[in-house]
Amino acid sequence: MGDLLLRVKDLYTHFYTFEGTVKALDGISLELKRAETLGLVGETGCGKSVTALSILGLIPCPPGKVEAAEIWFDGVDLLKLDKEEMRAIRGKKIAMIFQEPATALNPVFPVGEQTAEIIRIHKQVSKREGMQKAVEMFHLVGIPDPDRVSKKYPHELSGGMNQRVMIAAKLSSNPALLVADEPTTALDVTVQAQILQLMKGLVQRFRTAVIFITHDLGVVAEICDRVAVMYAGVIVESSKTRVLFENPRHPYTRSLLQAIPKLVERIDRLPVISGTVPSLINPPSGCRFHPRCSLADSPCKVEKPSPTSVEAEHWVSCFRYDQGD
Amino acid sequence: MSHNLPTLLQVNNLVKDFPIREGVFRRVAGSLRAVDRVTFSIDEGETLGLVGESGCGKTTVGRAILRLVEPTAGLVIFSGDDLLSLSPREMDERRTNMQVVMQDPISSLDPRMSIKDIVAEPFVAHGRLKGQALRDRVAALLEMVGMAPQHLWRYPHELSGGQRQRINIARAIALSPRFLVLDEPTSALDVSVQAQILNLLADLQRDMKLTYLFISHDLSVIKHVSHRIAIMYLGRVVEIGPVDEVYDNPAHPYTQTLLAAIPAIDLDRKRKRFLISGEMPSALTPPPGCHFHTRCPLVQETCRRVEPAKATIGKEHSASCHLLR
Repeated sequence: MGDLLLRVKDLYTHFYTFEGTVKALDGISLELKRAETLGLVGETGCGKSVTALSILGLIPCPPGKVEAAEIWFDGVDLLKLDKEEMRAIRGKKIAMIFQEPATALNPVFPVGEQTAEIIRIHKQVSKREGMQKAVEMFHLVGIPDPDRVSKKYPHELSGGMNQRVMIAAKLSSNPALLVADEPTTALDVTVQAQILQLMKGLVQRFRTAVIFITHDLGVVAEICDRVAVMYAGVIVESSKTRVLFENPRHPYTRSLLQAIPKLVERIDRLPVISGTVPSLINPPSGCRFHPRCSLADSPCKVEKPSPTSVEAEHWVSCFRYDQGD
Repeated sequence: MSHNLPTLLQVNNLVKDFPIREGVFRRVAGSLRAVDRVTFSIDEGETLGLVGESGCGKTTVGRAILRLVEPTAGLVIFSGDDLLSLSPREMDERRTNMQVVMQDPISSLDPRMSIKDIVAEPFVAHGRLKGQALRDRVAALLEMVGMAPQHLWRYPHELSGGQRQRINIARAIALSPRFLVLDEPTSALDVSVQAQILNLLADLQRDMKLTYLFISHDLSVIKHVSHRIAIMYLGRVVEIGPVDEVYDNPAHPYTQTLLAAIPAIDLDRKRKRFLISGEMPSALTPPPGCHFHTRCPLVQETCRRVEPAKATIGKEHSASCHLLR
């Protein structure tokens, strides 16, 4: 596969804390092709952000420890790089945008200047050229009157505008991979729709691959080509987006989809998942979902299920996925 | 639905202005109209959903009804009483019938009080119960919201988000109120926990014949819980009507864009792709005429000058837009 951009194999990230070892990721494997958008979904604390930070080498050590068979990105194994080499890749070939654009931006510099600085770090250009390129990027991300906005400070701009600035800054180095961690969660739905539309257009234009982290399955349906569902540090199911919504196989994915209030059908009671998310210091044995699973059987309690192919490009980590109908 | 039931709450032309203070002496330099002549009514046993984007004034409406902020003008009639003419002491008595559940489940619970004391506080404050009777009642309330008795001695920080919200609900229903303002009660929760809380609220409404004002920005949740909905934009209600009718036949261009902007899980849902540009203007300088005209795709000359009057679309369904005249 010449088109492969990122391959993560058996990623384990643990945090050594006072209370015990938090086994945040328990063997994550994923692949991403060029220009593909992969959604990483799951509820709070399931390890979506930790997965992204582990790939980027941003897990502080100590208390964290990242172990993997490989994190292969565009011809290099990121695990073998030293700090300097990793820093050269981060921001240039892999960029990241966060949930709160206002906190990711520096409050004491105008947004144009900040963007120009990022451009100058990655491309050896003069201050003036950097500024010019920043204004160009602002124009590209649909900021009205980019010249004037570039002189504003983050607090003078709305959340949606700040997120556009972030996207402009991060895409300026034309990265091969963009990691977007809940980029629209803090925005109103009309603004969210605008930002999603914008990202869709830009990643197509620049052929950027995206790991899109979100808890909102609706957003996944809008923007992602493929989706991986996470639960308690494990990818339980992955497939093409449409397939996941039409033919979810993992009991967790099914319950999650059912728990969302729908716009079309009207039901009186929402089906719920019994119990609560387990502690990752003492995760359940075997399949981490088994204590809450209605299909759980004896092997589920002992053995960890490995990804099984259900159909082309559709993987599910469950012993009893065919028992659910 | 509850068409034959009597009206429990009538809100007429409710206005709330916040003073804007400037300078060393905090002189009042102007005012911000957060709520602009809002009118609606809620029947007994009914849920009215109040939707809008951040900053549209929906939370202020909820607070003004309970006089947690003093309304500037208007009329609030609850069960025959004109609330705005009551003395603070009389209002306190009425509040036993009207309670609120806030969005953030942790900041609305005193971290130094045990769960038992938190749920008992309404009885103590109103001198209703003490001793064994109080202890029994608190235990019963905990059971009603689906919590085990061992939680009585715990403190808020020991509970999960969903459990904290259950405690907030237990406290709100302690004095057997008739009316609850639910201000984004599930916005801080994961979908699987949200489903549990929404089911709990539905059960309580049925068992205790509660009337809800359900405030949310989440259109799927609002659709699930409401009998009727009111859509707010920049301080004004732009459309109000029975929930299915508004979702099937949105009359106001803002409602249409809002519904079109929801990221859809229902992949085949028919919808007009109808993205609006721009963001909500500042409430400090609201545009003249129709507040929505700066973003409206169908804007006409009149919209920029004249505020639209309410137009009747169907039974109980009305919207404020010039195009509907």
